Amino acid sequence: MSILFSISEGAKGLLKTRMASTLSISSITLTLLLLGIFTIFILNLSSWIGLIREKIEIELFIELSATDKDIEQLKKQVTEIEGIAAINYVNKAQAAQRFKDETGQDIYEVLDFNPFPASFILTLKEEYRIYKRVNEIRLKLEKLPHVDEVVYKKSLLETLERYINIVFTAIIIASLIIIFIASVLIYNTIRLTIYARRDIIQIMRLVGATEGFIKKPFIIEGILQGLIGAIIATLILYYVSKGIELFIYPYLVYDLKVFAALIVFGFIIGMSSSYASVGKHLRNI
Amino acid sequence: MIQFFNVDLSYSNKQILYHITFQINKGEFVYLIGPSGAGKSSILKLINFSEFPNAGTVIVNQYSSAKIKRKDIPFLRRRIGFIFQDFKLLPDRNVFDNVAFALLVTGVKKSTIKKKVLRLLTELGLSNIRNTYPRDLSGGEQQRVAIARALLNEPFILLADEPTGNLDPRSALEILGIIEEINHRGTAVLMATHNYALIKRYPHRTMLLDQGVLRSE
Repeated sequence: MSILFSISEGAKGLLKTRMASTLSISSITLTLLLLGIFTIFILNLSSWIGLIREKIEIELFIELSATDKDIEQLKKQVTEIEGIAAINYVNKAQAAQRFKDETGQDIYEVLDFNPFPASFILTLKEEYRIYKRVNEIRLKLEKLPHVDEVVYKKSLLETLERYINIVFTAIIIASLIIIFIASVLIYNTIRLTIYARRDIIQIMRLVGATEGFIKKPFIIEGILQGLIGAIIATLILYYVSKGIELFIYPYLVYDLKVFAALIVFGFIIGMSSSYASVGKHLRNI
Repeated sequence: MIQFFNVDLSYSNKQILYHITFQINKGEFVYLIGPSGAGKSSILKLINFSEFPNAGTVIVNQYSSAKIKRKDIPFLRRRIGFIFQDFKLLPDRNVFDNVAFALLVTGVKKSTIKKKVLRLLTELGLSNIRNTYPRDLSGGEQQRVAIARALLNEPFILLADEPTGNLDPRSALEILGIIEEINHRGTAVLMATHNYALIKRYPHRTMLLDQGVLRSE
């Protein structure tokens, strides 16, 4: 009964301040749309980064003087280092072949001996494919006996991480700004509704409605604004993503959880902004 | 039932009431007269705790202005009927809904509300206009609707702030007759007015308020 009253009054409030409500709902739609785009962008960026990180390998060159026994021993020691997922041994002949594959040049046509050292190509576990950890592993490897040199794509990893940080920070700051703007708009719409409905508020107080009861319709109005905005944003985002996947970029990563989260988020923005506004402005009526 | 002890009230540095002391007993009918701006409405607002004294104490039933908790005020107000010169009806609701509003916002069941409202509308001769909106009613009818809303919770006191101020003499008399009848049934009445002709018609204890001071009882 009381909740039905609150919902119907909340809906009336929405209609009574049509212009302001439309502005609030549009801003929520735009906010959540941008947040959704950011999230889908991050999902895809993460997936691309994952693909790049998969290519991060460490190559450990073995001293030319190392014997088979030394190499066997070294392999054992490398295996014990944390973070190594797989070890692939490349002997001198394979190294020469690899040079030929990569450059088209047969080393034996230039030299009469094979100068290439044998090496281990180390694949890392997923959580170790970041610059800091790769570097730690490199330092450990360099201390092992019969290790000539340890190399990996240092600059690729460094650049990747620097740009990821910039992009993520920018997205977080932009998200906070647009959430703030949407919250302020809802806050103000609820303020307008409160003033537009001050007669009914006064009468409610007069006949003994509790403050909680008086507040409810306004909070529901805020929630409705949040939800309507969120549903519109979700529908737009869903169909646009689907369209991009079908016609432009079939590898687009998007998750239904993102859409569910947007709706929950719309609900939360609507509720918290109207709650704050009611708390501040109802007192003045 | 209602007691004022040395009550002072001021709004933004302007003093409205000075050392007001009086008492209203159960079932009593009291007029509060005085020129506009004398502070009559403020006294009524102090009784339903819309205002709080700057000094002194207001006691209404078991509640004191010094001790009442905010959350208790709505429950006290449910037992205080309040009517105004401008009726304070909701323009977007018909007569039935305007009256029912008093119970609707206190969480009473819909079936109970309907029964109570229809009975009260019949008693006040309003049942034939229950679907009409305030804009289509005369001043007298609007005030009767407001009275019905005020009586719905069976108040122990009816506060009337210039209830005849917007009415023609015939309607004013009719409204005062209804208020008199309500008082006969046991509800106390405190009526602020400057319609002295009506007071002569239905004489009761009269308090005169002049520039915030209670001159005579």
